[in-house]
Amino acid sequence: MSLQIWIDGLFAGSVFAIIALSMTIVYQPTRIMNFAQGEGFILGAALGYQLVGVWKWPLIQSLVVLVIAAALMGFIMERMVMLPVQLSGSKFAWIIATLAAAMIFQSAFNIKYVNVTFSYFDLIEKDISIFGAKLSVQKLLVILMMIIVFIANDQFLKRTLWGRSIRAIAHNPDTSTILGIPTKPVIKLAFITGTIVIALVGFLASPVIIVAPAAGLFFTIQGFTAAIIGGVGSPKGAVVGGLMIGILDSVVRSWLGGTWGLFSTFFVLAVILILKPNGFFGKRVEGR
Amino acid sequence: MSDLRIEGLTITYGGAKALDNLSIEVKTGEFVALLGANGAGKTTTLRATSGLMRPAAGKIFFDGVEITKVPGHKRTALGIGHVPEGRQIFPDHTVEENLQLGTFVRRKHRAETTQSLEDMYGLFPRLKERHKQAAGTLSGGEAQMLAIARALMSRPKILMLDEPSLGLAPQLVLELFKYLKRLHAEQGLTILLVEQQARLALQLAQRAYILERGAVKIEGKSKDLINDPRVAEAYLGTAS
Amino acid sequence: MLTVMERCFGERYTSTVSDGGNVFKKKVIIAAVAATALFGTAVTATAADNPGLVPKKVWDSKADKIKIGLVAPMTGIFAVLGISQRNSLQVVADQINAAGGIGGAKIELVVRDGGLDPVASANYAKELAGDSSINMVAGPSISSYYQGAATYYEAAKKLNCQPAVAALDFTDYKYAFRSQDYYKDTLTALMTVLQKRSIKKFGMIYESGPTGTDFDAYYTAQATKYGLTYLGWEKITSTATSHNAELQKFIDKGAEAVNISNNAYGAYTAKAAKELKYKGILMGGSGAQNIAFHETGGDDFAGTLMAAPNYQWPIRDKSLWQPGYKAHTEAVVKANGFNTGVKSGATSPNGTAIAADCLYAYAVAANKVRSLDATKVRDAMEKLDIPAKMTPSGVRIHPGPEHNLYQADGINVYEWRKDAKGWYTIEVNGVSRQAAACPEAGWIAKTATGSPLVCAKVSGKLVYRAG
Repeated sequence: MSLQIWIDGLFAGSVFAIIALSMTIVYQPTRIMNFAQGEGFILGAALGYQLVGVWKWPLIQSLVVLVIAAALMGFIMERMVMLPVQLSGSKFAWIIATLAAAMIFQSAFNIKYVNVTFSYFDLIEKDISIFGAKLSVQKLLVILMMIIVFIANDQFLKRTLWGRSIRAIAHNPDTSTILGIPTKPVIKLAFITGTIVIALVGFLASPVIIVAPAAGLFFTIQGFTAAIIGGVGSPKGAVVGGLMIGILDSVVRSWLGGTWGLFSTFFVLAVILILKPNGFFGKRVEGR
Repeated sequence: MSDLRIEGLTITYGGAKALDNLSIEVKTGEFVALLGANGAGKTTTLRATSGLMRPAAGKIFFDGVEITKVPGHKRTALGIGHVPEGRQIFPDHTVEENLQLGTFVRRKHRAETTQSLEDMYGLFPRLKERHKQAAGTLSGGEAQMLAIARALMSRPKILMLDEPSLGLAPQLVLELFKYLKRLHAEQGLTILLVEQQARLALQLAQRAYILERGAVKIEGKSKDLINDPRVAEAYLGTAS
Repeated sequence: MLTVMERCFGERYTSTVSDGGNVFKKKVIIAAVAATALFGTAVTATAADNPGLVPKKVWDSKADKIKIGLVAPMTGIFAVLGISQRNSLQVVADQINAAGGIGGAKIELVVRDGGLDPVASANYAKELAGDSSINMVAGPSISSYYQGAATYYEAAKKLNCQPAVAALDFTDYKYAFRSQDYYKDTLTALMTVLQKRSIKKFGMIYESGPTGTDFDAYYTAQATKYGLTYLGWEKITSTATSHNAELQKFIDKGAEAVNISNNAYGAYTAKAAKELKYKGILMGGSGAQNIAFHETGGDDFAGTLMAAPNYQWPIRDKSLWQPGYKAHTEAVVKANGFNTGVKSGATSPNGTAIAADCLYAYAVAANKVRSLDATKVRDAMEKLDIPAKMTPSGVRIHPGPEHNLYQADGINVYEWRKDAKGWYTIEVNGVSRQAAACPEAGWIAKTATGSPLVCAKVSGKLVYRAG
């Protein structure tokens, strides 16, 4: 099997890993798996297409607008998800709330970009060669971003008081409040940060992979699967799970044929859920 | 001055009135007990004071300033400490991390918070022994110590404790109350204690309020209340 | 005469040609051309009974409205298909309505968004099949979705016309017509070109489903007749983010050509060809019009073969366009514009003329039998023979008992090319109408009579000569 297949899998896996990481960022203080998360990916792809592709804006300007727009989307998403969750008090309100948010954003993208594929040009049209296998600089950027996001997130959670506070909020928001931790702002910040992260990967990856306006839920599911395999809430798990489904899919498709790729992903998911119900690095999963 | 004054507080919860025009006051340096049967509104009073519940009517003053609309996390910085019912330590964080979370409002004063940590280890040596351990592994008594120490880390002017004796062996309860007495006597901490074990609480506190259905039914000095036949009959009995 | 013609074709002829002072004269010329087109058809044509779009004076259907259903993905990854179909149907409906409607009844579209959801699509098909006020339904698109819906149409005797169902044999369906190239004709055309180019081995990358299954079976059975070795089918799924693994396998097996998906997923194969610097030929059906393929495939998409019914949009010399196709396409662009790839600059009109043919053929057939009865209209549609220059698609419509609006002679093979001015196509195996577009020495064009023409250089000029 050629090295190329593994490199392609590494790239796809990095995309899924970042998506899973961004979902983890939201999950940490909320215990909510945000099914609308993938819409942030579409936002990044759409803005890349519109700003860099159509309007030919310079990169820096485009990135500034992207970050602002993603922050705004995260802010709105937090209200769309947390308000019903806080008001209803139901254990399952988050499922409907996040799915509803996903549908609303998806419809919005469809109105504007109904028959567009968000594929604009690579920011850097260059390839590097690794033992004969090719890796475009664009893909390398995505892989590097995955590593940076992982390390930053992991260190933040472990080393800083803010990071520990986020873990505390996850356990008990009321107790966190009486210790003086601003839980609601922290949750807002988590949604905003998570959306910025996923929008950035959407921006970087859309020249390479084909992103349609309605594909948000697909990316959500890939991130969700990665998170479950790795262990929900664990940044390490998000990376391991993401890389695993990316590489597995690429390798198995090359080895056994296309339809086996998807099968193998969900087969592994099933096996892992049986052997390690909380994923590789997950602690017991508590619903709220 | 760190008076806590609650005026005409009403809180509705699922249609029912958890607090009904409740008014209490805790003066600086006082040790006040809040007694009453289950569902009388004791916990709700503390939660409202901490900003975890929004009142339908009434006002809360602290340090002479109205704080009714101040968000919960900002009240900690004003000096309100709260040891919640059931301790609510963070089981996945280590003992030391739990204590550090208590310093959140003072996080910019690194030297001070390090000192506080040493102070707490001095006060509760058991916690020092276990500072690297996940808090979830602590025994009930240790966990209660940790919950109190964590609240003290924010250097509160008033400490509100919600049934700290719950689930502890009698021996441990006595030890715990000894600590509370020391905190009040030696550090001049203002304390508002919610307790089921009314007799013990009245022995510690200077004054007490007895709540019934969300309102103050009886109030007075502890030594008077202990001898008050209404109190003895309804709340002291022989059981506690 | 002029009045009638203007009502027939509305503004689409005049508006696109008139330029100031000579308007009237040109209108007359256009009207004359159109009249020739109308009356010179195989259908016996008189003033009262002609195959064009007849004003209500000719007959009175007594109907209130003619409702045409459309079930297609209007949102989601493949919305481009549904929207194009709707746009083209709307343009034809507007034109017919402006000319008085069908037997005086105005056409109204009833659109249902089936997304990429087979169950929703089948349910909408069921709804429209059961609605007696609906005269004809287009869609659901995609062969596998249609398979589920066809039984509803047959049970309800609901006339239906399918602009995006390449596979399945329609002889089994009594009320269904296909306004797309039948896959056997498409694949035959492609294999014919491969053979001419002395290609020996080819494979196919296509998603799982009835289309892929039909294609695979046909290639397996037919390849040797064209001196080809068919290397098999690499199945893909909607979740793959790269087709490098699939294409690499064919590269390893020495495939000189690869058939790519007609659906959005084909863009991944185009991308893989770019990334793996594939030297062979990509080939596809009308799906290869999709500019997403140019976007992802980049300059390496040049050389890709596309077998499709008349698709003259990328042919720069508009004088070569079929008049009906030109008129329709220009009306579509006027109403809905066209798409442009931000990276490739490739364009495509916001419509699909083959969908327009469904309504056009219906109108002609209904006018012919002066009835809206589904069975009568169907019988009339079977017997239609409308020449290529008149139809919105620019392809001759003559369905016959197989219910394929287009026969094998309606399929052209184009090759995508790129130069400084952008993307364009040349006909590799076209009909005689394009004989003038002789691209370079050695290209072969087939003619309406069947005898091929070969492009050759004669005293410095490229011309076709009898082969």
